[in-house]
Formats: sequence, C-alpha cells, structure tokens
Amino acid sequence: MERLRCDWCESTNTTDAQSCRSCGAPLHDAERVTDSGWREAPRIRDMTEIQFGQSALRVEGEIVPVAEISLVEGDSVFFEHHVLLWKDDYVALSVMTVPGGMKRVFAGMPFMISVAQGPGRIAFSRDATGEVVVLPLHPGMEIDAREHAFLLASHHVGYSFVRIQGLRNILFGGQGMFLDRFVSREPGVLMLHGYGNVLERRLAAGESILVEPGAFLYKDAAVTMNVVAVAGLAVGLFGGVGMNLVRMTGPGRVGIQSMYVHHATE
Amino acid sequence: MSPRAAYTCHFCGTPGTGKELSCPACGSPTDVARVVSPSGWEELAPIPDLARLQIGRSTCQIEGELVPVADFTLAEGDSVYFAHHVLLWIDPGIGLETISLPGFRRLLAGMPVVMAHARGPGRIAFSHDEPGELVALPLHPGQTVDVREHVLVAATGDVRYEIVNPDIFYSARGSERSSSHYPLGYFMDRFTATTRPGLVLVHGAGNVFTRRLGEHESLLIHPSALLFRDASVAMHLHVEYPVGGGLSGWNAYVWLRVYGPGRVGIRSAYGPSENLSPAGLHSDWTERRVESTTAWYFMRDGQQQGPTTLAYVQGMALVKRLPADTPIWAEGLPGWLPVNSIGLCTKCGVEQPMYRTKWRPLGVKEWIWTIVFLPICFPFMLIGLFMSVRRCTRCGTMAR
Repeated sequence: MERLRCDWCESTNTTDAQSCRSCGAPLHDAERVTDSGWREAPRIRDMTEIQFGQSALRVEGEIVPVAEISLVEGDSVFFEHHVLLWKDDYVALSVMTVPGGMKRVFAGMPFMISVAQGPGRIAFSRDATGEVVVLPLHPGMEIDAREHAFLLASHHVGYSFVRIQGLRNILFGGQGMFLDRFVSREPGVLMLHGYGNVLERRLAAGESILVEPGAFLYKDAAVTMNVVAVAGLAVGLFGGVGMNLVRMTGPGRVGIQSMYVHHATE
Repeated sequence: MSPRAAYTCHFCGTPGTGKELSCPACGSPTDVARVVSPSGWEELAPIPDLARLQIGRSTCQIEGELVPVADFTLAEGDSVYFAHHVLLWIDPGIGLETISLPGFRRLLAGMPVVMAHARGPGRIAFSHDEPGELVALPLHPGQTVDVREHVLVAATGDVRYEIVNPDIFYSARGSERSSSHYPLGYFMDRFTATTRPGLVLVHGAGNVFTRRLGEHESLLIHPSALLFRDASVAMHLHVEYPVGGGLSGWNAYVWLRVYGPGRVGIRSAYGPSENLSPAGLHSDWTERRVESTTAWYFMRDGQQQGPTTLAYVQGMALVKRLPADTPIWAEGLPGWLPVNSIGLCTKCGVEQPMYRTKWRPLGVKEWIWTIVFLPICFPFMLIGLFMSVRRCTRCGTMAR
C-alpha cells in the first residue's frame, strides 16, 4: 500500500491525508529549506489535528497558537503550570515532582510539573508570538530543550534535566543552568513553543555552527554545546564586554528561533 | 416588504446579502467555512486585509494582519473616541477634543483619565502596539458588552462608555512577599448602544476565540485571557489545588469560572503567570481541594438537576443564578440539604461531603476526652452546643 512520508518527522501517512497525523506538518507542501541548509519548521495549518495515543491534539490560531487536547481516559500530558489557557471542569490536575528540587528552585525552574489526566479537554498557549513545534519522539530518542520552551509532552515521554557544564557556559550561554531533557521509551509527542519563527538544521558528525545564545531552542542530545567568545568584538574600557556565541557540534539536529530570549542566570 | 437576508453573520448576527466578502458590521469573512473547534470555541476569523466596516455613513477599513490598523473615514457629524496612545495618524482637518472621565480611582488604576474624541469629516487611523487581532463588536440598540481594560482601540461616538468593577481579586503569598492580584484589572470598560447601533473595536493579543455559552453552561478559563463578555455572563474565581501538590496552596491554579448565557472572548496571549499561593483577602470564590469523584444533584425550579460538581452549584449560588439555600444531595448525605451548609473534607483524600450539624461527641475516644477534661472543657462545650460545625460523612472530621 502506498504511503506518504512526512518530511519533518519521517512518520508515514495514508495518501489521502492532508497533514501528518504525528506532527501536523502539511504533507503536500514542499519542504522550505534555505540556501544555507536551515529548514523551516512546518507551518501547521489552523485547526490541524494530531494523534497521540488515543487522544487528539489540535493546533488553533497562527499568531499565538493554542494547543487544544482532547484526552481520553488513561492518557495524560504534563506541562509547566503557567501555560494553561482553559479546561473542562472535570479534567483532573495533579503534580509530578521532578528530582533535583532545590537545585531547580535556585535555577528559577519549576520543580513541580503539572499533569492533566483524561478524560476531558484542556488547552495551552504560551504568552508570545511564535510557532508551535511538534516533535514526535520515537523510542530511544533524546532531545534537549531550553528552559521554559516546552509547552507540553505526552505521558509516554520521560522528563529529566541536564546541568549545563562549565561556568562560562552558564554565565554567557543564555540558557540558564539547566536544559530540559526528554527521553522516550515508547512513541510520544513533545510540543515546544518557539518565539518568532523556528528553523532546524541537521549537523553531520564533527560539523559545527555558531548560534546566538538566545536563539537556541532545542537539539538532539548528541549535539554538544559550548560558549565561545568572538574575537575582535570586545568593547568597553578593558574589553570586558564581548560577544559570546554558542558552538553547536554535531551529529544531530539543532533548532533555533528567530526572536532571541535570554534567561537571567543570577 | 424588505427582501429576505441571504446571510446572517455568525459572529455578530447582522443580516446581509451574502455577496460581500466580509460582514459590513464586524468584518468577519463571509466566504470561509465557519471554523469551530470540537470543544465549542469558535476561532475568530481574522478580518481580511483591507476589509471595510460600515458604521452609518462612515467606514472603517482594516489594514494589515500582524498588527492590524483601523483606518476610519468619518462622515460629517460622525465621531469616534479612543485612548490617545493608539492613534497612528490623522488628517490635519479632523476635529480633536478631549473627554474628561470622572474618577480619581482610574488614575490610581493606571487607566486613562482623558479620552480623545475625533469628529468627522476626515480620516483617522489607530493601531495597538502588539501582534494580535482586531475584534469588531457591533452593538445593537440596548446591547451591552464588557471589555477588559487597556484593549479598547476605538468606539463610535453614540456608544455610551462607563466603567464597572468586575470584583475579581485575590491576595497571594509569593516566594518573597505577598501581593494583590486583579487579573481583570481594577475596572472593566462597559459599552452600551443606546438608541442607534454602534461599533466597538478592541485589540486581542495573539489569537482571539469566542464562545457562546448556553443557559447555565459554565467553563474555566485563565483569568487574564478574558477579552470581553456579554453583560449577561456572570463570573467568579475558582481555585484548584492539584492532587499531590499539598494543601498549602503552592502551585494552585486560579481560574475564572464564567456562566452563560452570552458570549465570551478570550485571547491566546495573556501575560505571564507565576507560582502563587492564594491567601488572605479575595473576592468570592469556589475551591476544589481534593480529587472530585462525587456526583452532586440539586433542585432548580422544583426539578432535580445533575450530576454535576459541588463547585458548580456553589458557584451558581455565588453569582445568584440559584438561591443560596438551594437543596443539594450526594451519596452519604442524610437528605437534601442547603448548598450553603455543605463543605468538603480535606482529610479523606477524596471528595467527601461535610454538612452543617451541631457539635456532639460521637466516638468512644471523644467521650473519654470529654469526661476527663469536662471541668476544663465545659465552657467550650457549652459554646459548642450552640455552635454549628461541618462534619465529614466518612471520617467524622469537623470543620467550621
């Protein structure tokens, strides 16, 4: 039987499908790749439906998109509490405690992650103009996302965090102290919110690229990240204020956003 | 006899011929399929670029889609009023004056105390400095709409403007200090069309969704997401403590519960939230502290209604859609009891009704304590005999 393969997430779909059932990417639009090798995140059409488990997820709006989920009994999603937009009265909310509590509190990150259990409908949006990126996770995949970038993840996905190594990386990396790490043991879905437009590039082994720290959004766990000072751009009386960029080294995917967000590290 | 209208705008209800590309009253496109999510929210179709709205003899053209501009062409005798910071450009010949708004409280609330008023003929344009959508709310004579503060772009001169206190506030204990929160602001703007139809243009940050709630239908929304509501929509705060989050209130969700009938509009960009622990002074609210599994039934107009949640019935009583002593019943209660005598036990771990009763020692342990400490406890017991408490139907826990 003939199947359509999604360019974005590589899931297979039936030939009559208009959008990928795993990530919502339009299937009949050509992939938009820049001359420099960045591909644009798919523009998920308004009211596109995405399946995960037995539940359905719908992306609504295009300026500040809303993710509306119809959860069935037994399915759940987890999220940071401040992205809730509305919910049905009977959707049960609970709390999932994340290990490393005090360290996360000092880093300004939530140490309690909220969980919504089905059945019922619940909707999320993040307070910024941008795009929703759907990353279906296949078993064994590990993805690192910058702090506060994740909108929600299905209960199939394991959530932990990794501490950014090196004082220089923490102070000048623009990412704070931690990265959220999502590991999947069974197929699941992860939704990130990117400020502005989102672009992705796949780096070959050993290939590297310098990225403005505030633009980093997500990467495969295999991609390494180090802060480097750009020579010749130091200003100020003693040249103490310079320009720092993040060097990403492959192999793996790197996602960036077109609006820069810098998290405070004090 | 006037020809029968071929099309009725699904957003504002204005009849039209169906030949226009967009509704002449509110600008909603007429040539697109109505976009409704399965949950009932209707995504406001963006007003098409360069669409024209007709207001009497004047027109308003909407330009752009990311940060849209409202470009008014005012006829002789027509006028619009607006807050000065949304003005984009103006014809030199147009007459501008100011309207002073009463209220020192507005000044304290950070709201404009002076509204600008532009009289035609001439052109004037407005834009709100934020990506989002323009929402046109046509008002028929007698119709009233409440809009959150600071989102007004412009309103036609015939529309009456006043401010109302939404009475939605709470105090919260943060990580460092306590603070007061007014998620709808100190005031809401109220617009009423008196004798002639009017138009109110508001700006919704992000995308805007509307929903028409039926009689007695209710919904929980993020308080800061509310953009507008029909005056018939009632609302109050609802606090929900997630299971496993402890009862200290850290990480509690503060919701706005809205009740139909009427329209509500929400925006998808609504400002930052923070971890809060609601405490101290607050406007009327309902709470959900434990897992809710109990089915509640209540009487309305002599008929049994339900099953529903206790918070719903308590909320309906709060907004005076039901009498405060509405009879209510759930499994475990001795009979139909007034809703204002019901509470929920927080010790059981699951929702368990508590009902108001006189204090009496029940178990053996309570009797022993009572006899041993009778001399000391006697005055308190005497008070207790006349004091009503709530007692859990399952574990016997008592609470005020």
